[in-house]
Amino acid sequence: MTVLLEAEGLRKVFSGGVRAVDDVDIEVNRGETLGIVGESGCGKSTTAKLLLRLLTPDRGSIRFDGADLGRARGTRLRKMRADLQLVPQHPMTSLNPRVPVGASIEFNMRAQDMYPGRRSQRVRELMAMVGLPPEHADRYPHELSGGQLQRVAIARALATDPKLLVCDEAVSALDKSVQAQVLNLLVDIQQQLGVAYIFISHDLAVVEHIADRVAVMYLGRIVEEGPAKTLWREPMHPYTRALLSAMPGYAQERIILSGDPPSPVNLPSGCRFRTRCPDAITACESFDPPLVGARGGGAGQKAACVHVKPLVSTSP
Amino acid sequence: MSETIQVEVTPREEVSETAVLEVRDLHTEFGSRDDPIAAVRGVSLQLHRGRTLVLLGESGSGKSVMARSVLRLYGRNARITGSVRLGDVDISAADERQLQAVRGERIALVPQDPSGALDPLRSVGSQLVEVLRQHGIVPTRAEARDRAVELLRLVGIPDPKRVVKAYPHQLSGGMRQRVVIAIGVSCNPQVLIADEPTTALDVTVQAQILELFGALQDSLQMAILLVTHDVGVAREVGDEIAVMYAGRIVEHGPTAKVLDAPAHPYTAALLASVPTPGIARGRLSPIPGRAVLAGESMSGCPFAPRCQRTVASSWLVEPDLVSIEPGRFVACSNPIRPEERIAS
Repeated sequence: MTVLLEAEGLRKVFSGGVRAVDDVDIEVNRGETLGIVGESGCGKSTTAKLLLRLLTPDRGSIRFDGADLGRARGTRLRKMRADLQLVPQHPMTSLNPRVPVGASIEFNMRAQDMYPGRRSQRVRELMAMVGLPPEHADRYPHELSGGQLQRVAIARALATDPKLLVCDEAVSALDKSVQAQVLNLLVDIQQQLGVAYIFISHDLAVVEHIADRVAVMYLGRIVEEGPAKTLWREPMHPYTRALLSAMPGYAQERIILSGDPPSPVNLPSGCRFRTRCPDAITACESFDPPLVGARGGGAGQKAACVHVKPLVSTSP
Repeated sequence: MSETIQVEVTPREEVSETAVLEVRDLHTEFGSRDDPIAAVRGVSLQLHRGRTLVLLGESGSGKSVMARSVLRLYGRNARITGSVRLGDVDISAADERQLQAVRGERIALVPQDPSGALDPLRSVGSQLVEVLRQHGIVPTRAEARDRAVELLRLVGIPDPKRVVKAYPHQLSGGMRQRVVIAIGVSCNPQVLIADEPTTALDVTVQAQILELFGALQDSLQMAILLVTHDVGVAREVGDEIAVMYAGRIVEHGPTAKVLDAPAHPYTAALLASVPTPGIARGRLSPIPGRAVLAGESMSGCPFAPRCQRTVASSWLVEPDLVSIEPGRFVACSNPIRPEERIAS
């Protein structure tokens, strides 16, 4: 597997000193799905916007498909965007209500000067690919259901043959029975086209279902990362454990966290989870643990916690 | 938490005398009389002291309209028929003054969106005091103030003396939801109706709130009607589950039975469409198509167009909710039989 996207040391501070994303590394391989989970305010959507360059990072680098995405500007950035597309949470607000959905799909191709002369034909192919009758291309957003609109949003994102789709809470607004249809569609498309996904959600069950690897975010940091199955069975970070146990219907003993996450303006000293952590010790007040390969963890499992012993590096 | 509550499986007829709240054949219609939109179409249920009934359904199933119709919160916008009895009070026949006396005091609502339910211009304390004074729970303002602090402590708010003076925007979503719950339980109601009380919250906060509901129920012995779309939440808090589809209850029974061995094809399909954590990845089994909307014309069973178990009569008659075993009810012409469940 080769690396498609590699971001290092990403940081974004908003006005008022809100440290939304603080020193985050992300790697996505071709054709794989990276899940990002976390609760509201953890920085997962900001991370997505940074990776799409809808926001410019204050610090850090982003390499995409061998090119420097972090510093690209103007025409070069616009061209790169063909390869990087977003499937937003609410297609009702991201599709122009005054044009037929087919025109919204076509617009993406026109913006990238792609498929000249056969755009309307490609719109119909894309509609078929996402399981919609091609004649629905002539309908307006208000004439389609939530599930159908989300299919249109996926078709639009696929119009420019991207290598990476960022799905930001893309199925969260859908009813469960419809959500399953869209999740299956995303899996089919990936198998067919080999496109990579960054799948952002607060719903752990959905992420576990669709992702190969998962990154867990808390207050602007990744606190644990690893293969979806390993993270699920043997979480190493206390926050991941609490998050999993908080899922309704989770079988094992529940860890109830006290209080709410602290404000991202006024971060605690040391480890930023320590104020709610059931395993916090005195050292956590001063030690800000880095995300490291965990001894005793599964292959590729990393965690940022004082209790996690780092792997002894065997390479010179 | 719910383990401590005894789950007796008794046929409805026998327990009807002990029900705290009894709803019979409730219908709610909106729109004009010529072109009515029927959101709830004949729902009957009972709530019992210290027990939780979950109304489970997807958007548009009528579960929230049902919950609000019980409290008669729709005014003239809706035509509500059927009977709602809260002990000796017939809510369905009560006038506005009688309703005011009952609402909040004997039957209370915890809404989904706490930000919309709280007055942004008044402190949390004054909103709690208002409820307590309105219903004459405490004789003086000063006592009401003390009681407000006590209630905030009861719902697990740290530093309640500070929070009582705070305005809603100064609190987090989880804290606001706790305040709304505090208002809900302030008059020690017999019945608490909670409409998606944790849907807007993060999972770790949701876990705190569900824990709180269990603890409050144990100490106050309220009957709870909890409306949710989340199967996990339903499993967690429900003693009984009533599954709603297209304005009617299609399956009703003890939680474990309904979720582990569903009898209605819709319940089974809904469960199959939700990813189960920790179980091998594969394709989910979505329910094809979409739910009928209130007001859409249909004949026969409303689930028939999406159902894989239809029989000839499914397209002709809408099945009634009938008992299939003590305490279990299903509305289906071809329900999943116990032997089929074991086979699958």
